[in-house]
Amino acid sequence: MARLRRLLESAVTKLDEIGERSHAADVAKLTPAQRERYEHWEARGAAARAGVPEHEMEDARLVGVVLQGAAGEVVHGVRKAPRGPEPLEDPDAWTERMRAERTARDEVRAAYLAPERHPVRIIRVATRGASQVREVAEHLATSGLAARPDLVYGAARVPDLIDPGRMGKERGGLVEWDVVHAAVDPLPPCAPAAVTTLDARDLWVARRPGDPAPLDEDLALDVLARAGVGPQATIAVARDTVIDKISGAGEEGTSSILAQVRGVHLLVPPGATDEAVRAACETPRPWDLPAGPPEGLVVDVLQWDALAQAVHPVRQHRPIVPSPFPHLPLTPQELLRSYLEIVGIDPADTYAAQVTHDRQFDLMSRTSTRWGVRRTGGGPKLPCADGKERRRMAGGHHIVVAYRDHPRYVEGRARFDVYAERELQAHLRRNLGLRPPVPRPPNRLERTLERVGDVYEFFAMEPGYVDDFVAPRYCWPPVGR
Amino acid sequence: MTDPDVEHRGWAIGGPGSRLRRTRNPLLGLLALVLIAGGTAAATVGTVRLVLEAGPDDSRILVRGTVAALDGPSTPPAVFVTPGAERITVWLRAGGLSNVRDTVVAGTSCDLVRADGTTTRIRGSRQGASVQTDDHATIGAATSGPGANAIACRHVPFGRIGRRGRLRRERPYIVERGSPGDGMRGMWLLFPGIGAVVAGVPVAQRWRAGRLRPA
Repeated sequence: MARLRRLLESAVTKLDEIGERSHAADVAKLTPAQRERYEHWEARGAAARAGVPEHEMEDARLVGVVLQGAAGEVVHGVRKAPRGPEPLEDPDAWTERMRAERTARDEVRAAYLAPERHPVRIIRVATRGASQVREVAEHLATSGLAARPDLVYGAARVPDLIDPGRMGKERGGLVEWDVVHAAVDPLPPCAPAAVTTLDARDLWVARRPGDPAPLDEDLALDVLARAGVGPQATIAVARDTVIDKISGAGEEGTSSILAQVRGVHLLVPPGATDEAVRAACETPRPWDLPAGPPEGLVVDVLQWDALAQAVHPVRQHRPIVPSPFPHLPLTPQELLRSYLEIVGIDPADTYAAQVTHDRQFDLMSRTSTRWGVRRTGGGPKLPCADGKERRRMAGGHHIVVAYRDHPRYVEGRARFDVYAERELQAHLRRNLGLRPPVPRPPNRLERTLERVGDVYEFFAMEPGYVDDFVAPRYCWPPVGR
Repeated sequence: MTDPDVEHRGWAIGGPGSRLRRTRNPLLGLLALVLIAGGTAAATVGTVRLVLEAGPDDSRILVRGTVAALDGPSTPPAVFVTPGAERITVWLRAGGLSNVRDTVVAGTSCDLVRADGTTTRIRGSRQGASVQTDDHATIGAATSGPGANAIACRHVPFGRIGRRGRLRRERPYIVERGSPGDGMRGMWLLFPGIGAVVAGVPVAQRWRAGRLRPA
């Protein structure tokens, strides 16, 4: 009997050890924000067991989220938004007040600016969707910037939907591009920039299921490294972002306006540099690409949408002014400028500086102050790059800056983190969800079952579930299992 | 909104020094205009014609009569004369909720007796589809004979017993020359018109996007 008991105790101990190991392995896989939430709940459980009353514990809703402070409390429902003055509708009054608030923020930011920094100018141009890249390449020629990649931080499509009420896709519509550069004086015209586009649907890099999917910039920087093209010879690495109106794509068959990335453009000066990039793209595919950017390069991604929820709650409207949280930047361009100026990045070291999207992002979210209401209408007409005013829906989820690292940028990033956490009360690198694991593709049996299900749904005339699977970019299908 | 961070610079091409300009094919623009404007006009005219012409028309009415109530006394047959064999349509005057109206239509039966003594039964429940306007619904169509034709209609049992009360009253009907679709010719303008507008939008977008050519 005693032997049996010992055997049972030993088995239970073994099972406990296996459980502990499995739990530790799961915890090790958590992202920093998930780990913070996990540790918070562990501590909360311990405090509750120790008899600490609930009202004395930290609110769990602010654990592991981007926005902290008063803005975070309002956005995450810890408390109601304080009743402030009525938002300004008159454009002139709005602009005047916005500039006053901006001046105050600039004064706060001045203490964090890099001692050595370069001018930051953001030029916005209008293009037609179908020919946008060619038009931007031509603009870089007429502005002379195509011959001075060392003066360009980056260029990218503005992720706003202009004229959301118009019919059809963006091909015939207005699409704006931002060119971020440091040229103060006019430059002589030059030849147009050369553009190579890497299609995200193509298999470029080898990944196994469970491996991290590459970020657009990871692949683009790898191609440039293979071509021997440095940041001083790169005009821009820009995600190819499209915004599509899709009927019935949302939950319960609602319409969506999806911003999604379908590739990445590499803009370089024409000639030898362009030829080297094109030759690098001819490398037999798929090739091996380590996770993350190449050695010595930084791809820094910051949250914008989390801040926009506080300062620009309805996409079709202007940001709220007077701002309920005047310490927060009002536009993604303001945050991008802050980053470049605080880190003190030299445009000659920069590959990309863009406000953009990563995963599929529904612009129909945040289109009304009323919960559950999704609409494309409403809001005033706002200025566009061509000088006309149109209705527009503000997009932009992340801010991406890619550059060659330098010890002074390490200090600059530390300074920016202090600025973000102290002045903005935000953890801008939280919950980014970058480089998600590559899913396992369905096997033959699963594919057959899916087809049988499709046929059944067709004949039963029952609306099936919407297949919202989006293949990871540049690495689908994965190699091996 | 005047964003202090962003300088608006107009169109990327076509400015001073630009080696590209956008050209638009005037024929494509004309085609888009014709499709959209023509389609809109056709759809509008089609809708107006449908509103005005759908249902029985005074100029085509041959005779009016009364449908006998279910289990009620017969009503006198309506007599009309046609010079030869002609297509005729029987319209019931019935408004109200569509489900009530459908039951009333299905619970109506007419007997057509031609001059040569041949008969045809027209049953509301056996027509392919009942054409309905605000106040009228078809019972069915038949072919009359040359000379005098007599038609008598009555409500007949249809549907659940508990819902037959709506059939126990008399209703007026109209016998009209032609088929039920004669007043629906506006459809021939409405649907092609809508199709032209739908086709015209991508053509207009293509025209608007234009082509880039060396300046």
